[in-house]
Amino acid sequence: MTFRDLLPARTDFQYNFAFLDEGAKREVRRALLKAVAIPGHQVPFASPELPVARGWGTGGLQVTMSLVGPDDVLKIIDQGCDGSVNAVNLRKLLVATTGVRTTFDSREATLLQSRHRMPEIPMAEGQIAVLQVPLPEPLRLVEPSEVETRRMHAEGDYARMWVSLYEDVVQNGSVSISWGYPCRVNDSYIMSPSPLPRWDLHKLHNARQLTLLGAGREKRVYAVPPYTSVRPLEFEDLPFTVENFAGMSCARCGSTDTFLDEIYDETTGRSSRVCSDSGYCDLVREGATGARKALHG
Amino acid sequence: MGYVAVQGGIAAIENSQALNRYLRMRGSSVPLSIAQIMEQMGPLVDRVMSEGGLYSPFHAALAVKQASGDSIEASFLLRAYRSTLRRMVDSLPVRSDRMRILRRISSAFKTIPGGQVLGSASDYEQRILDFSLAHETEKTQREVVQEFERSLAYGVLSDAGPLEPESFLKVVDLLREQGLVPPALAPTADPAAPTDITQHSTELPLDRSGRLQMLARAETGGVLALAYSSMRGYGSVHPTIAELRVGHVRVQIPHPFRPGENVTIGWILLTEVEVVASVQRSDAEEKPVFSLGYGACFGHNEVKAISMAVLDRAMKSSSPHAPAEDQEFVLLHTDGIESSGFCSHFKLPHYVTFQADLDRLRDLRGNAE
Amino acid sequence: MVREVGFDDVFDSQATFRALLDALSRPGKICRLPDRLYKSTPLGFCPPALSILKTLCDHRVSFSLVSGNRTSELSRYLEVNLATPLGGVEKADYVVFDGTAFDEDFMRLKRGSAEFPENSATALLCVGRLTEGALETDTPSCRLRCAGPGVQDTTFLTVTGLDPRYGEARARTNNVSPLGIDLFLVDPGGRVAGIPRTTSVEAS
Repeated sequence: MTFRDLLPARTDFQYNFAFLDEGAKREVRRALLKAVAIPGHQVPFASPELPVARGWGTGGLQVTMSLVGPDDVLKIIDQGCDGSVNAVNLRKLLVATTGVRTTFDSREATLLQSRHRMPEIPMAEGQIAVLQVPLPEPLRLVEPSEVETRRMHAEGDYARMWVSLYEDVVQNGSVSISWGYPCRVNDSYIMSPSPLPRWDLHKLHNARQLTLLGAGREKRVYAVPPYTSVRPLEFEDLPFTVENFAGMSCARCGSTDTFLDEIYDETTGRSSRVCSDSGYCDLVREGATGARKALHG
Repeated sequence: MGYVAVQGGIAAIENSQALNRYLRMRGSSVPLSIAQIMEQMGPLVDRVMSEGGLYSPFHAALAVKQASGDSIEASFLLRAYRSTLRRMVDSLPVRSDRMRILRRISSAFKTIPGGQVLGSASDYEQRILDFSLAHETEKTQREVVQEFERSLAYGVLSDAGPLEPESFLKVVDLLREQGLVPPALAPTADPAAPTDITQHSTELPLDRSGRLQMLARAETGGVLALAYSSMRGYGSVHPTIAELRVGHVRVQIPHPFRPGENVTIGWILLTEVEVVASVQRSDAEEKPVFSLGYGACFGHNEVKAISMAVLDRAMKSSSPHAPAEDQEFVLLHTDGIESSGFCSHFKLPHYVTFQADLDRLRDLRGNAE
Repeated sequence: MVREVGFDDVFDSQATFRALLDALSRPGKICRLPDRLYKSTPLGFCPPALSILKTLCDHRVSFSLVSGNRTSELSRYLEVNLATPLGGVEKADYVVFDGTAFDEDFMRLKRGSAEFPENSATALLCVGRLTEGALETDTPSCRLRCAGPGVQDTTFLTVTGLDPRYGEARARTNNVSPLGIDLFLVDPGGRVAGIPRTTSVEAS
């Protein structure tokens, strides 16, 4: 008998439920529990390669894969849209390896994985948001070294961040950070909310849902529990503002109270605005009862 | 936008995949066999094994075929495959001093114990495009192989002598006997060491084992560029290659059923480089010694192993200044799968973040839309 | 010594984890662990705690058992059923306590560091019975008033079989934010409540 005879035969490749092996899931799960206990703090975890490229949502994906069970209802969006090619691809992988039900209606989802947006309708207690994060370190704005930013967080030494924002105001008249605006969580850590527009920031603050954030390439997870304060860094005399859509409305559903994408018609070249949240836009167009009301909680 | 766009999204992806396959297959040439890639594209296969972090020439060659020769894409395929494999056991440390030498050179001394073995080297090939390669046939192949094997039988190359013993004292050990390089580290008592960077989350600054693990999987071009910066003058490591070895090493594991015994599970091809660099002093009382740098990678890849050794030495610098001396800079930016993934991610939709940027800029410019 | 086969590594782990995540995200909320019949749990050990350990432990972490009933039988049972060997309390990532009797070893649990606050122990306290709200009970009980992240205003938890000295000890181990030990309270009926270090707890 040779050693070769002892090796198990590998015939057709069988995926584990939700693709990740149980060891990898345990590693993510342990990290998530600690993340919830230390709101806003980035917890490192050993992140294996997935068939999806680094930088394309592997962090969010690993979080979702470690959470999902057969009874979950999944919604996956990218830039607010279920139909975006990357969201479609991630959904395909998750459905193929779990068989779970999916939805475009954010109210029905138990797990909502998103890149760069929160759904327009505020999320509820039974829901978990999973955000994809490219660069989890908010202090990278002022400091390239990981060892140094780790020390800054440990000592609560955030002076250089404030100086940077101040210099921004001096130079530009206001803070020019557009997305991924740095926030203070639980009056403690400074956190990047992922590349959310300023429009969506308030949806993390004192929220009913749990928000988990995953950065696969940087190998970090972090969390904002429900009912936890998330405040954008702002100066007393220069309050934080959101994007200005005054005078604009969605060309598809007529909404005047959502984040609007600027689009240029393929044929005419004319510009118009449509809801970034395609699921919400569809609900309003279909006249779904309660959708507009749900928006305002 | 909901249902229709989803259909459109899936269709676009599937069409793209079909197009990729078509472009690879539509020519008049016969489909590449995995054997052809393994046998005739050795360095590429070796590079993919090294960057994929998985020693399996077959799977690496398959990845090369699937990626149509794109080495980073192939390495990614191999790494993703590696993630799905069950980890069964850790091998014993490999003994490179017992390597079955295919090639062995030293820049430090003209002659060394055991002799230098030029082996299979591209260094002295004249870089003149050989058009006869466009006309190779199976007959050419047979002739080349037969002629070479005949020459071995008649001892035409017998000046080199039979390769007995299989391996030789390392040049570094020779220097070590004279106290000219730091003493070898004692083997750690804990068999569980070193920490596997793929199984445990690791924090900077990494220990030397972690750094070498990361370099072993790093992208060749990336480590080359940074090592080059060091050689040229950004924090200079002027290395002398004490020894470069290429050959097969035995991989052993503890016997699964017979405690105290080891069993060989195979042989792998390894490239190993030890460089000797500038003088250092560990503390005031100690006499100065040369500093060492070490690099080793799967397969035959000399540029990578030399670059690894140079960076290993650079990262030990007691007062890091240059990029190649900065651990974080070197280790966080040389993984090909991570860097190419992030680079490519900029192709993903960024409509919302850009809309936020537009809003900000327009506001700062004092415009209302 | 029986190896428990009733626990499904994939689906029971997932369900257990979701209960733990929900419990820790919403301190004071009682969540249910999957109902698994364990055949041969030695006396004094709360079976649902095994589900938690099986979900979270493997060769990459260490675990310890602290209990008035730490018998070799219990140690062996856990060694057979978990992939993690028992270790010392100061290094352990997951530690099981008998909630009815305070053990000084609680003070030796690792609390993390300023740079790595996550590198702290998670303690599982096996208690008598967990109920939401502030209730009067027949048996001696604590009423825990919880506030902080995860809690809208305040919430109450009634616990029987919990030695109040754990609360005092927790105040001492967790007095340097963000370091601290995170707790799960679990009862034999499979109810679990999570008390992360960020929760302020008043006992009465």
